[in-house]
Amino acid sequence: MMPPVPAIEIRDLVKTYDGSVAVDGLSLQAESGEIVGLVGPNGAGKTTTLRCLAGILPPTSGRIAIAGHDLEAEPVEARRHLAFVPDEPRLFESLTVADHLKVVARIYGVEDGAERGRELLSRFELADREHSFPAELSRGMKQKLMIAAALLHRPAALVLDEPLTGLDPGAIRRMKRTLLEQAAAGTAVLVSSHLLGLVQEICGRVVIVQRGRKVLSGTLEEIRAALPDLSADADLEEIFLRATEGPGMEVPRGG
Amino acid sequence: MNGALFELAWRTFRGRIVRRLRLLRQPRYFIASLFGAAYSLFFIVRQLRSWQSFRHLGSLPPQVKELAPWGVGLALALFATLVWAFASAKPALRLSEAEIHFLLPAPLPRRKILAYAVWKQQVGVVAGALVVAVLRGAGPPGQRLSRLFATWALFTLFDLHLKGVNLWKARLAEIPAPAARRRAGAMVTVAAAFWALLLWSLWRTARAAAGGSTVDLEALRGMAVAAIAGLPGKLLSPFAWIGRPLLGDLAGGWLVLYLLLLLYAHYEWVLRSRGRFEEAALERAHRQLERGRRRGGGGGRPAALRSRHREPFALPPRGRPELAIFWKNLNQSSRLPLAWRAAVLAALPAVLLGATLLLGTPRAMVGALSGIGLTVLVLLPAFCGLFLRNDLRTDLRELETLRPWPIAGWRLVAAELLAPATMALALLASGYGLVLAAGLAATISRKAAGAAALRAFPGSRVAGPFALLTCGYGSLLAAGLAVALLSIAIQNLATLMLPAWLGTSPQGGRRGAAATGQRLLVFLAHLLGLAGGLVVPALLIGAILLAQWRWGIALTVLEGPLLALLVILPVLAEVALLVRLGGARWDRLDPSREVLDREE
Repeated sequence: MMPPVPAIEIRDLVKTYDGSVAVDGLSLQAESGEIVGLVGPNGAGKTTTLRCLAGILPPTSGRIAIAGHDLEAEPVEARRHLAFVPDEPRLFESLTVADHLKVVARIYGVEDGAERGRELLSRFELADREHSFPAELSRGMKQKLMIAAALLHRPAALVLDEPLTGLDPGAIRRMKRTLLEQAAAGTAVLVSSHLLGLVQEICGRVVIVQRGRKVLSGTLEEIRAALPDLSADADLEEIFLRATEGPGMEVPRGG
Repeated sequence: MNGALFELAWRTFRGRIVRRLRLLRQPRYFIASLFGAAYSLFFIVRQLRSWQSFRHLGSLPPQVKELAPWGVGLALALFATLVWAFASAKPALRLSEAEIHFLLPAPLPRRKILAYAVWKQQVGVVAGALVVAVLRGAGPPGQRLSRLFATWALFTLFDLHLKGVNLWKARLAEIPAPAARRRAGAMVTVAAAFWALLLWSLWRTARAAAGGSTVDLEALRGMAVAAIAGLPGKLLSPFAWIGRPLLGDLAGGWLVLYLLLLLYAHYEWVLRSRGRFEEAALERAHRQLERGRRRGGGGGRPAALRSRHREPFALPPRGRPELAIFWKNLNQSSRLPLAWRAAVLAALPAVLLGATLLLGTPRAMVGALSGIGLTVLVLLPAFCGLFLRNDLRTDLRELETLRPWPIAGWRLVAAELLAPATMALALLASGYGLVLAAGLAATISRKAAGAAALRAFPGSRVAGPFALLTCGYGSLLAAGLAVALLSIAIQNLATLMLPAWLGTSPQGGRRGAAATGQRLLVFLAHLLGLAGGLVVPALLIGAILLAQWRWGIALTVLEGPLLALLVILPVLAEVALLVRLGGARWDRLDPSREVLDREE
């Protein structure tokens, strides 16, 4: 029997900007139903990695596949299975909330777009805002709309870059629940965040990156085991600081 | 301005230059910049030369030269009064949001921040003075320098005076009402006294000089000379002295000293002001950003004013994704249903036809309507790409949303062309509507109004109105639409080739000499591209005309559809090629430096 195809697969990704290396041979994968946290200090290459994964930036080298479809060879098919939520909400100024969902449903060919759109708007408490323009929404509402639009086509891979920025505590809780529900429904979720508590709470696996390279990855238990000088109940914050600032930490080439 | 602020200004300026230079590392920007620089140089040299040769023609006659500074003085006095009367009480200094958030909480005296805002404005003021100096032409180096100095001084004076008045008015709003009323009253009294005295003395001079004789040009000149010699001249002197250096008269350097003293007094007035500017500056920075966003988004109007419950057409939930992009882009221009827009377009010729018939089909009206319509049909297509921008040019800002969409690059580019093409069709159809109304009116009222109206209809000497409207102008409409599509496709391809240049910035339209040069270059490249695209149709039509001439076959309007086809088919093939090229470029576009991380 063939092993299941990972929903997200990044192999030896390299991205350079004018000679400076932003991502340096990074590999990671996320299986269906799994939530993977991507953490790292500022400038570690998280956003660049996610943008490459979303097809926004072309990688300098390496391979990216979504649900088994190579992003370079079959870009349209790969993107059909992907949803990306950038760190800053990017909305069309002249479209209302409902318009955004209508356009996205059509672009992704969502059969039950209207019903699903209504359901998502209600889930994200935007039902009474469906005729509002982005200029009339708070940052948190825009972020919720981005996430609703991302979930509309039931993606196999959901990629979120700092998804909780600008959300109120209630919305953060609902967002966590949504991500867990998505994973339970079989979606692979890759989430980048500086909120290490959140990552620890919802992510099955964590990938720590620094200077474009993978420093550590695995479940919290696996990472703790890889760092024997840490206490057995060390949380992700301790692990993160140890991995990115601690002495003698080797940064393996290509992870 | 203290050292830290000078450092900030210098580093900002240097950073801007470095960012632009870095862009030149890419060969396409480098080559395009070379062309732009060459053209700008050519333009400046040509301008200088042409003015050099026409210097004698362009120089003012002595009688006018004698009076001109007083005219400038009067205009300046009027300007100053209007500024005091209507300038806002919000001193919205030109500070960016970053400058406001960094500088206002910093331990810097208010005077230094105001000085920074004033000096920062000097970049634009000096650039503006240089442009005016170049446009005003050549002359001896001394004269050129004095004109440049005078222009700079005048612009700086405008800037400082406006800032000063804004700050003064802002202060009035902060002090107790009785004190504010006293100050405002004093200013009103001074201004009223000045104008009352000036107008009264002018009236007296005019009455004395007129002496009952007829008022001709010489008499008017005499009145002006008498006014200058009398009280009006004395009152206007401080203003006229500002105008004299503009005409190359520095009065042995005394006027330079006068202008410098005036500038220094204004500078100190602004720096010593006590009105609050912080809130207004922040408001202005926000407003600027919002305006830019709206312009970039193609909206232009506040969202609240839009008819949010309308849509161009009902977007079916299933089908080709291109339609969704078309629908989205149509929304950028207006949310009015397409059917309504079509009805307005159809009603236009009907209304005009009715009006023309009601007025008895005047020849001038038929001529004007058909002339305007013809101009629209002939001239507009080539420029549609320059002003219809609800396509990739605005969408590229939302690259992070668009790029992950599961749609092939060429299909996305093709979809992006549809909305501006539809708007181009509407514009051309309105032009055709005017011609149609004129043609039908002339035909219907032929017997009543005679053939006069028909003679005003362009082309009526070679064919009947029916043949002209269908084969002639109908063909022009179809060919024009193809050319408009080519014009739009060229602009979209250019956007993908040089995204940093084509207004994808969140701040909207960019300013400055470089941006102006880039726009000029893009305009030229657009015309060149269009000319290149029309070579094949021109050759095909030329071959037909040559063959007809060779075999003695007269050209008739009935050939219109054939000639239009010779334009449409190659142009559509070129558009398809541009779409494919654009799609390939979209698929490979690395927007990291040019779009995603761009500051301006």
